[in-house]
Amino acid sequence: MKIPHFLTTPTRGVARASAPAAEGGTVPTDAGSILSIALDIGAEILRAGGEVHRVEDTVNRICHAYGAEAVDVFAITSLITAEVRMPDGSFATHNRRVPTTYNHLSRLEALNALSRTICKHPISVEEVNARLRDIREYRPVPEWLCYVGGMLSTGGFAIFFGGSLWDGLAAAVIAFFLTLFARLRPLRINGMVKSLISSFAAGVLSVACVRIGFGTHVDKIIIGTIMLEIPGLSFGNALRDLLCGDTLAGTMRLIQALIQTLMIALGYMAALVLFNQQIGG
Amino acid sequence: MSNPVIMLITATISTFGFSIPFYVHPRRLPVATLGGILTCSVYLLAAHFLGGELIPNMLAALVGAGFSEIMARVTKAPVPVYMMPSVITLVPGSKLYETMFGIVTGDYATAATAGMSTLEIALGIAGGIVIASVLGIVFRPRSHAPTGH
Repeated sequence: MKIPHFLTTPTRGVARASAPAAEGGTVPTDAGSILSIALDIGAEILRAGGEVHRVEDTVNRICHAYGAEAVDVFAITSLITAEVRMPDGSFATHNRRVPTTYNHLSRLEALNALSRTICKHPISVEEVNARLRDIREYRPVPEWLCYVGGMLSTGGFAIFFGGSLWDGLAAAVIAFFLTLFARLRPLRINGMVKSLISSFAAGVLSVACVRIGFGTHVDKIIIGTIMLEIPGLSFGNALRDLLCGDTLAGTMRLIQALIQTLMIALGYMAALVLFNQQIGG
Repeated sequence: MSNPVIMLITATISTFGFSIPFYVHPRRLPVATLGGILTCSVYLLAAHFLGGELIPNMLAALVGAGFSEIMARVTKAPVPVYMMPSVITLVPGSKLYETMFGIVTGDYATAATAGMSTLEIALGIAGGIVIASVLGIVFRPRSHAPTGH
């Protein structure tokens, strides 16, 4: 045990998830495969909108379930780095960069269930990969329902904050276009810029709706659309991360959410300035 | 403030609708929506009897987040699945708008008041979530505790 691990183990980081495939569905026992599985699941949790402490906890537990002796994992909102040591002294160190995240709570739930399954009964690399593939393609509701959901919530909030039924309908129509914009996959632009454009468009569309007589209160329509844009889940996760001791990750997420809110405010303010000048002139 | 009955109905619709683009599983939608209704009811009651912004929002967020923590354990789902729909109705969209409108129209007095209200509400919500989450961490079941630390 006194000999440093790197002298005794030539296997560092060699074994990837594909390595034990030749053996045909056996439960992995080497450090590289185990860590690879754990990080695949951890990265997917981060991507689906999970908290950082959940990612660290999951990687930790999965590695232990496969028989690791010690696990050191550190994650922030865009990176997971981990080292695992086996009882025989071999070890592996892997990193995963998670550049983009989206909010997909069903996938988060499925990943959590997969992690529970592994902790109860370790499964082979092939099975983990197959299940991860299923989870990545998991669509619990058809795409068009997301539009309906966005329209319902935005319309509801416009009325909730004191708007009329027509205001609610106008807000719902605008929400359709906002959802469409948010879901444009080929549009690879910065998330912050996307928020700015989206909120500016929401402001302009709200004014336009009232101008043509569809809805009466610009403010209520705008408030309805604001609720759709605000990164609520990020704020919640940031608080939970901060409380669990992941100060760095929580701070990063909190600042990210604050800047995004600022961008949203700037977008709406630009639309309002435009609108005010038109009235003045 | 508008009619509480209308507010509750629209809050229900909004919470339900809001959960769908976040892909809350259809199986979890009823409980998630219930969390939103609960939070909104507590807010309306507290706002009526206590007044102010900080305390009603904190109480409502505490109840909503506490509900999420409990239901997450009961149904073995991750907490964010219920947390997000439960507290969404508290988000100060209206105050944020007033702040922006005040700045744009040069009415800085209104902007400052509304801006402070926005912060106050945000602090209230954060406080409620913090209390519920701390309780959730303290009362974490043994089997869920991280191993090997």
